[in-house]
Amino acid sequence: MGDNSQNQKVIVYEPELCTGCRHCEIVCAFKHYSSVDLNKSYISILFNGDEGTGAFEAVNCQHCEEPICVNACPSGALGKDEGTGWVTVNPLKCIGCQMCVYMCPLSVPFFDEERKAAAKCDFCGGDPECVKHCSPAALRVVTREEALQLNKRLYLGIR
Amino acid sequence: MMGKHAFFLGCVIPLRLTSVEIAARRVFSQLSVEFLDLEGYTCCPEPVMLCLIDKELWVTSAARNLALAEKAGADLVVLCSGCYETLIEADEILKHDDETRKRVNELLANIGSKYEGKIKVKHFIEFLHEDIGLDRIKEEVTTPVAVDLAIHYGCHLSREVDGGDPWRKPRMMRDLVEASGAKVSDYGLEKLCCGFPISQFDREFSLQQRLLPKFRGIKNTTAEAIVFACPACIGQFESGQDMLTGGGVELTEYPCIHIMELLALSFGVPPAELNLDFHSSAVKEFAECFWE
Amino acid sequence: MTEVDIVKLLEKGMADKSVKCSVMGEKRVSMQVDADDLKEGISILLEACKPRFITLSAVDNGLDIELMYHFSVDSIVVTLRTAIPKEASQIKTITDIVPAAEFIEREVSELFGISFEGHPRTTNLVLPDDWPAEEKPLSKPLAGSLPPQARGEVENLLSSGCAQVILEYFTEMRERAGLPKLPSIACASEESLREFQDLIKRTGFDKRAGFNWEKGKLRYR
Repeated sequence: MGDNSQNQKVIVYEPELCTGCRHCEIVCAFKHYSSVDLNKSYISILFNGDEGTGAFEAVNCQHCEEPICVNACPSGALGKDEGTGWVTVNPLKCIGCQMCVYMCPLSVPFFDEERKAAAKCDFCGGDPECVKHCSPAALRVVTREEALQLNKRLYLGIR
Repeated sequence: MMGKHAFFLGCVIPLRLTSVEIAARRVFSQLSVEFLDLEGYTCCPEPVMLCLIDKELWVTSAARNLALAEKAGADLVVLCSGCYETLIEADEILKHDDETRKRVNELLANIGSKYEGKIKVKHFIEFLHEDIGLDRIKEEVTTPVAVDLAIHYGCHLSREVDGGDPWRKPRMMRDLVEASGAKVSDYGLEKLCCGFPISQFDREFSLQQRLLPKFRGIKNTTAEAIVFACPACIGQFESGQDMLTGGGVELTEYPCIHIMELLALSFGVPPAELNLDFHSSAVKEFAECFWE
Repeated sequence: MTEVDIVKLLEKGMADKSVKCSVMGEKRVSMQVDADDLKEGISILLEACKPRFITLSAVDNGLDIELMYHFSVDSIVVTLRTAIPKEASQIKTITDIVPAAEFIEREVSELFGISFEGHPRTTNLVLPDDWPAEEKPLSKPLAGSLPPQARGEVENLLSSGCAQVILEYFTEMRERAGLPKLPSIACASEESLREFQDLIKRTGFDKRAGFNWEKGKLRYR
């Protein structure tokens, strides 16, 4: 956890703005795999509501300050960049044990059967496609500090 | 004083849902707004797949379209939400990314074109609401369409640049629907996507998880038809309701009218002059029924 | 001789051809060259540096096959790269100037289906004698990278400037409604269409996507 952790860029999601178009999933899958296989998108949008009050929730990597996946990885394939704060997986080092898949509290990483390695959000190297294609700006790039403020307001009602 | 304006029609409206173009021309002519037609324009190009497949192609083609409007000295009023998404995004990129603008202009120079960022890209909804104004529109409403309507906004209508309020244009659309004399029936799922983008990759999902909840919600209201601002949404609803009933789902099929067609009817344009049979849903019957 | 020296002499020797030479890293030099100019490039390298021929690698890129001829100049690896379209999988043999290439050209030919014109021996080297001749184990079908959902759209866009197919059913309905048959879209005017297509060619998209202008379709459809 570096000093600049609060200034690092993260992706934040505001459920109220989401229209459920799943463009984010489509473009993420296409960008990373050159084909639209929605099972391979690094972000998932789930419909969380019932009749009349349709609400969504996104499951996407938070690039945690203290990533459990990195701690769980036995081969050092998962690492957190000190500068950008992004947590990425190196498929060449991954041994396919899937500890990251089980340990992540959000179930963010998945095991890519084709490549026999774990896969997860890599922040698109700094210019996330999902954010660019979100028409209502439900997905945004903000600093970690801003994201924490927003999430506290959304989920804990703290202003 | 209003400057010059040019329509951006896109590919779908003039070549698949021409009634929207006809309605738009009638509405704006009655509002005394003169529209230029962009000579030699191309597909916007499509904002999601084409943008991803080849960024260079996407931004260069969009720049060419924007440059055509610049050359004509006209702001662009975009009739299709998808085209709006592309053109406003491309305009933002070209305005702020010097490297991209330089590279694109080098390519455009070969065909005697140039992008300078001098014109504005407006969605037709905001043009009607801001540039013309509700008062002026209400003046032209001689035959108010006094029916109950459900609204479907469409995802791209919430696209704003510079961190604007995503619900700005949807609120304007609601005002315009009410200005036509209709009563808006709220069903709670107005902002839910129609499912068109995902329909190309998972059709069942788009029908069952996006369209069906909307239809069920609308069924619980007194709405007699659904009003739209986007041709892709209309296509998805019209073909989708056919597919759902064909698949054995119990469903009321709704006429899917475009807001331009609704305004034209409220302005006194008879249904016979709007060629509403371009629609595959019962828009023509709905309009004729109201007209009596 | 350094990497930069090699790049300089290749650029000088191929000054009138379209080549792209670069130092890829420590002890790595690369030259991108058209298939027709490949032999000349190799000749220049042979003459100036007396390199050892290492091997030839082939990569199937879907639309083209990339061939990489690797040479060693002392401990520097110099790679001459070229690409040949799969529809015409042939290139001149280099065995007349580099006899050591004989075995590898035979192997690439069997496994990828490339014909090396003028090669002295074309019998199977690695595949069994009773292997069916039409089956090339490492060659993939002719296919580009566009997702299936976008292929028709791209073909329409490049042929007419419009992502939708222009159907007579609709143009006639337009006329009946009192509108011009076509909107003022690019394909309504030959000049506009040609201008648009010229712009597309300059972005290089047609090559990347594998679009065949004569057919008006992607190469693999």
